[in-house]
Amino acid sequence: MAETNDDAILREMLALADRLCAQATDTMMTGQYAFLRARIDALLELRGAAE
Amino acid sequence: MSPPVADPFASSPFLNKVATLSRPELEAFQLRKVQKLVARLYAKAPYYADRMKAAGLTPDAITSLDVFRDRFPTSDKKSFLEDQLAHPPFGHRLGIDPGEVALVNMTGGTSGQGQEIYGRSQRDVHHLGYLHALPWYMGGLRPGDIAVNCVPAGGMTTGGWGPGEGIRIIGATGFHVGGATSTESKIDLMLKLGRVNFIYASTNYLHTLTETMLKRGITPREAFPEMHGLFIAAEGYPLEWAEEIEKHWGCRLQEGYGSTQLMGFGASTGSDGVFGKDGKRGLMRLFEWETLYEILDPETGAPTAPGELGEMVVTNLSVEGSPVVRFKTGDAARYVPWNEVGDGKAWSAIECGTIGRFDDMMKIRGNNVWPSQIDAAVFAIPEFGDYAGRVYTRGGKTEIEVRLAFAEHLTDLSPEARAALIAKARAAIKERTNVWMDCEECPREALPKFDYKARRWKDERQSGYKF
Repeated sequence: MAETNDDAILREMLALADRLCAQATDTMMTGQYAFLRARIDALLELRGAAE
Repeated sequence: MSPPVADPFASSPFLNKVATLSRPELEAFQLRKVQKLVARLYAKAPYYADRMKAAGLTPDAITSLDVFRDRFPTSDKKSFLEDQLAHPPFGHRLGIDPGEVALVNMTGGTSGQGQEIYGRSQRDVHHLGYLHALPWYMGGLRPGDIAVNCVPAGGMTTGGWGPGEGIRIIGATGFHVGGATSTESKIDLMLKLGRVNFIYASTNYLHTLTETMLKRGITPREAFPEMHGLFIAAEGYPLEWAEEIEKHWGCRLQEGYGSTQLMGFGASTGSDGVFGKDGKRGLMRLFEWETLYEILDPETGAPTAPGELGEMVVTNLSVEGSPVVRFKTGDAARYVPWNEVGDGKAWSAIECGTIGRFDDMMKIRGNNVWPSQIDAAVFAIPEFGDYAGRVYTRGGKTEIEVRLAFAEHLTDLSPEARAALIAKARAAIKERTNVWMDCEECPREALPKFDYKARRWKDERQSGYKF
C-alpha cells in the first residue's frame, strides 16, 4: 500500500515512543510507555504500513 | 513479620516526586486542579452548573480550597440517581460530549437504591487502569510478574474493568479468573502456572481461597514461593486474620480503598502492609494528588477530628467523564491527618481494615452495630471459616442469630473444643458490640460463598412486625 501522510506521522510517533521506552528507567512508567508504543504500532500494522 | 516489599519510590522517580511534595505544594496542586475542573463543569455539566448557580457560586470565586469546601454544594447517590432519571442515561453531570464516552461503568447496586452510571472518556480508561496499577505497583506488582485477579472481570462495574487495564499497563501478565471459574479450578490453574507473584481479591475471597487450599493440604507459601504481593479491598478484617494470612502465604498483605466514584483506588497501604509499626492497625495513605478528600461528620457536615470516624466526601481531580465533586460516599473511615502520620509525606491517611458503610450500621438494642465489628470478632479466631447473621423480631423483641461454620480443613475438632470456640466467639462479639447474640454452629456448606463482597447479614426485623 502507498505511504500516506497519516502513516508517516505514525512512523514518527513510533520512533519517538521507541526513544521513550529505550531511555525509561522508572518501573512505574515503563509498562505504560510500552503500552503507548504498542497502540501506535498496532495502528501502523492495521493500516498495512508496518514494514 | 512478612518480608518487606521492594521500595516502590526508589524504583520510580515519578512516584518519588509525588511522595516528596510538601503539604503546601500538594494543596496548591489540588487547588489548580479543582479550579480547572469547576470551570469545565460550569461550562459543560448543567447538573453542577445549576447547583453552583443555586449556591451563588461562579468558577472564579473558587480562590482557595477552603472556599471550595465551604461553598460548593455536596452531591450524593440520591441526587445522581435523580439526575440520571431526568436526563438518561448519563445525567447532566457527564461533563464531556456523549459521543466521547468510551466506557460505561455502573455501581454494583448492592445498596438497593439504584445504580449510578458513569461515562468515561478514552483518557479516563487509561487513568482507570493507572488508578488500579498505582497501589499494586506500590504493593509489589512489577513488569513481568504473573498476577491473578480473583475479582469478577468485565461487566459494567469499575472493578470489572480496572484490574485488566491496571495489570496491562504495568506490563505484568494477568489471569482474570474471578467469577468465571470455581475456587478449585482457580487453584488448579495457579498450580499449573509455575509461578504466581501477585493476587488481587476481596478480603472475603482471599479467605475462601486460602481456606480451600489448606483443606486440600496445600501450604500457599510453599506452593507459591515467588508470591510478593497480596492485595485486598472491599471489606474489613481483624488483624489476627491478617497475621494468619501473611503466615500462610509468606508475604505481605496490602489493602486498598476504591470505588466507582474514585474510578479505581484512592488509597492504599503502599508497601507498608496492614500492620503499623507498633503492630496495631496500619494506615492507607490517600492519593491526594488524584482525589480531594474531606472526612466529615455525616450529620453535621463538619470536619471529623483526627482519629474519629467520618464519612468520606470525594472530588476527582483527573477524571474527565462523570467526575464526582464533593460526593458523599456513605463510606465510614477513621481519619489520620498527614502531619500525625509522622513519616514526612504530605498524604493524609485512613485506618486500614475498618472501612464500613454508614448505611450498613444496624441499631440493635440501642447500640450502633457494624457488620465489620462482628467480622473482626469471628475472624480473629482462625478456626472459623465463615458465618452468617440475622436480626429478627420475636414476640416484639429484637433477636440476633449468628451461625458459625468451622474452617473446612479443621475436621478433627472435638465437640468440647467446638463448644468452647462458639462460646469464645460469642464473648468476643459482645466485647466489640456490647450486644449478646445467640451463636450456634452450622455446616460450612450451609453458608453461601461469595466471589466478591460478602453479604453476611440479614435484617428481618420489619417482617417480624406483621400480624
